[in-house]
Amino acid sequence: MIVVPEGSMKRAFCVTIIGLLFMGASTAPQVIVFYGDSLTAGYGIDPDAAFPALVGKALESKGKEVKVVNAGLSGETSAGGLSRIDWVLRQPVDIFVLELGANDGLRGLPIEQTEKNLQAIIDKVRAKNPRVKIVIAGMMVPPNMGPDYSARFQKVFPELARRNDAALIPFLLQDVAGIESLNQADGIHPNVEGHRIVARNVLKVLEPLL
Amino acid sequence: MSEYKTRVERKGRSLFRDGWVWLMAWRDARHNFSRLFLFTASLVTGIAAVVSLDALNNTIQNDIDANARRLLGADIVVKADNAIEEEITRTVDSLKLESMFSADMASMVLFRHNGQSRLIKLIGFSESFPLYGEVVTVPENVFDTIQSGTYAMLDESLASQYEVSSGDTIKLGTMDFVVVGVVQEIPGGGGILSTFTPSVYISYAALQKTGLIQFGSRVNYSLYLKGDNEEQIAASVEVLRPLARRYGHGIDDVAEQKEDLGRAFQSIYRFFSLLAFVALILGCMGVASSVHIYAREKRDEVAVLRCVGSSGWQAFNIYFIQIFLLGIFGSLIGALAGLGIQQAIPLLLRGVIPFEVGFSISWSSLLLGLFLGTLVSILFSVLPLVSVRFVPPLTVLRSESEPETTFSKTRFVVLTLIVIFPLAFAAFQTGSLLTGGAFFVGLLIALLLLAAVAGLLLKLVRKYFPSGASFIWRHALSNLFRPNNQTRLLMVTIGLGAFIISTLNVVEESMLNQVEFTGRENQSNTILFDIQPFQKDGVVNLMRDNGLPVNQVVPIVTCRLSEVNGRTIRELQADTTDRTRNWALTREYRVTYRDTLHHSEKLIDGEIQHRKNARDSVYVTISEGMHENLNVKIGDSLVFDVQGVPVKAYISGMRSVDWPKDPPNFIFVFPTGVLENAPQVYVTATHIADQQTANKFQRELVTAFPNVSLIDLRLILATVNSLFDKLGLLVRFLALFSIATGLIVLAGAVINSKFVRLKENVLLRTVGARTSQITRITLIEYAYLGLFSALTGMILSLAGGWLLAEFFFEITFAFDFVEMLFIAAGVMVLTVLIGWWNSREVIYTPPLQVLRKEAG
Repeated sequence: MIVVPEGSMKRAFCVTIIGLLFMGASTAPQVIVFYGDSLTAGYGIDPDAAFPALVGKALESKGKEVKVVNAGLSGETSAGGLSRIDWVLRQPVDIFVLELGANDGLRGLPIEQTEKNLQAIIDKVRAKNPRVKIVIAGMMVPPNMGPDYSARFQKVFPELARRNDAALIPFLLQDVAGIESLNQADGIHPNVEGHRIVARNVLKVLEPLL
Repeated sequence: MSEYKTRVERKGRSLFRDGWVWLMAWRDARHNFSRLFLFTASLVTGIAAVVSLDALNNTIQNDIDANARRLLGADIVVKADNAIEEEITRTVDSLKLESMFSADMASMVLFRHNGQSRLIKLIGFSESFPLYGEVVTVPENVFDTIQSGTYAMLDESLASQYEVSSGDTIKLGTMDFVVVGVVQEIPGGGGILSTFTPSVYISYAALQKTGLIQFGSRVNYSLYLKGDNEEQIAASVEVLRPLARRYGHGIDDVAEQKEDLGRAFQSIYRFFSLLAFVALILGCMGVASSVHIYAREKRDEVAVLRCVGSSGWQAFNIYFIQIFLLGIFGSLIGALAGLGIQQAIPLLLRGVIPFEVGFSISWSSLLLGLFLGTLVSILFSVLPLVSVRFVPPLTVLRSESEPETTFSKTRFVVLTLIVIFPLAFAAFQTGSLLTGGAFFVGLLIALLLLAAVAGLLLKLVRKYFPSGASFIWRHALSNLFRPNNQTRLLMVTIGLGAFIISTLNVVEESMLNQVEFTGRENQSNTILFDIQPFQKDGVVNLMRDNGLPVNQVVPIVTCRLSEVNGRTIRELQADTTDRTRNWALTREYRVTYRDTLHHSEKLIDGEIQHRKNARDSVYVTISEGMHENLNVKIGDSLVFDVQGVPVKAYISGMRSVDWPKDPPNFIFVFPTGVLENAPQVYVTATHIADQQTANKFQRELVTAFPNVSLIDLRLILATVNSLFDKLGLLVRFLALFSIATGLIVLAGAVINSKFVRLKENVLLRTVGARTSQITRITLIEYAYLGLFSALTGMILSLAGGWLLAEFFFEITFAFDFVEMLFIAAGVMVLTVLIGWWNSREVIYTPPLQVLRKEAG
């Protein structure tokens, strides 16, 4: 049981009412939940500079009414994501961006498990809101993990998208991964510049859904 | 009674031109060697301790220098996360350094024989690795085989876990490799590190063909360099360091490695230095005490010499020459003995430190011992000997007359030097005036307290004298108060020995109690984390199926703070007058929930975390110390952001947490009924006794719950354990030095009172005492002495151990009563043995023989 202080509920309620009054007939903002790992959380940079926030700003500047929720947690694996999803689904979701699996890949975890966990997450989201639009962020592991593993790993995401009728970002880190100037010193986390490109990759797929 | 001084002014003769003095020294010494034995013995033990410890420190230092290279595998290592630039390789060539390189990366290995795959660290070496040290392999010397084709070697733990044997095939990248053996030790890595991600070793040439190195691959490159001499290496580091920095590479050199190793052994040095210091001081006390006895015995002879015309200085010189020469002799013996002991110590330490301790002879330690011994024998013998100068010739006639205390410049100078000496020595040993001063003051306080406790005990005995006890017991006890018996000095010296041994024991016990893991029965040595809630029962069942104890299953919830006392984190960060630490405000907190205290926790203030019902506020507890960082107190409010959901809580109490004990431990603990639905992972701990069980369990775990991570602490714990065991043994062995010195002082005192005893025993016998009674009286007397000394030491060591544990190591004080009892009993037995051995003559001499001698 979580105690949600009454005040905040009231406040949220008031905001919604006021929002409705002022906007009149215009649509309520669509809630985009970015559900992922350190890439979503913006590991090593300010969360305001991470790609979910950038995507939100870009959409707003184009006059779209959106509310972006950053539900990223550094170090999260697909198994962790599966057990955390109920908590995140306490809020309404219109668009669900699933960005998990990279940590499974870097740790060499069995691919069937990753796929099963991601599918279970999608099922739970769908169960909560059948009309939710799902976006799956495709991921790759560095080639040093070996061609067998890499090939099977990167096939997981298109396969999931096809099966669940979801939109697919072919590779989230397209034009960013492996480029030294776009990544932090650890070589895997994009820097501020890198996140801008990631946001572009995401927007390409996300914008048509709105 | 009119007192007078004999002050005949004579022309002083130099010690070196006074042949008579040298002759007398020799003639006198011929018959007194046995009396000076005590003096020699004290000096020998003291010096032996100093020399052995100093030599050991020197040897370790030398070996660290030699082993730093072996551990690093090179003189200089450049580490890069991309291929080493040409500018660097060109520079290396121009510096004429020998070089080789390696590349490593995370990758997957496929075991062809069972179809399993696993994440590994893949390392490719260029030829001629290593530049220093050697790779220990099974079968022996097969490491170079990997250079000859598609051959691979595995870490021992990896091979045993997946049951890989030589000849099996593994797939790396697009290629198959044949396993030729396992690696047990490798310069620059291996060992403990390999428990996290095990390694597979191949040649660099083969690595390039695997197709694993391409755009986007994350590869680490290391360039190992070897120079011809120190100057070349130092100069090369100067050139390479800025170059490496410019490319963003890391650079390690042997000098840094030495420093790191040296730092690890710093506390051992300190500890050994402390022991050496104590042993030397005890030796000094032994010297002073034995010379004091000697000078007292020589009073009559000196009086006669004075009567026949020798000067006070001449008398002094006679004995001084004896002591001085014997001092040099004793120091030499002590120094040699010390070196002998030092040679034996590495055998004890074998396997504890990560390299072999050599068998070199440390000449500087030998010289140090000789110098110190001579200095000690001069300093500490002059003081008691000076009194010889003031023995009046009248003593020949009046045996009872006490020498008057006379002011003497010599005495004053010597006293000053005596105070300075230990201070200087301690400062020299520790290499710092401050630490040396602390040693000195510590010892002074310990000695004063020992003397005080000894005095108090004796006073108590006198006050509550068991007048009702049988004659033997009473007589033995009252013997302790015999004049000139030096009972208090004995209690202090023997007590100091007991004090040191039992303090070390108390500290060790407390520390062991602290590191609860130390391989004791059922203590956790394996930690599993990242267990998802839906996997919890499965993991616990898997542990049970494998017969493993489930020591702790703890939920962990990650959250951040969003408000402290109604102010948001942003407000607090913006407020420059606020004393709250920024990192404490912004960090992620891993919290747990439970309604009880874990056994590593103690509630020190307020109430335990609680929540009476669903409408009650949430009360949490905070760990001691963290309240200062967050600047909060009991009753303050906090808002936690539990992954998007705010949870308001109040601080109800504060826990002191014994962090290393049975981890995980927590800063914040919530009550139950709040966080059950929050995203959480579980951590559990278990004890795995043997490698086979560990292999089986790890295999099953990885199959059923691949995302669960496992940390195997067995190797680390085993190392820590044996370090404790062996160091403890060494420490006790060395503390025996102080007990030995105490016993020498005891022997001296016994011999000193021999004649008084002879008379007493004769008297006792003439009034009808039997030999058995006298034997018992003697034995009981020493038993008393041993008991009181042990008590003195124990009382003080309990206090000292408590202080050390509480304030220096900041751990919970604990002591093993049984071990303390053993130490006390040991001290008593030794005291009785020494006392009895030296009194045999007294006990078994027939009374008539003594009476006749007296009459004669």
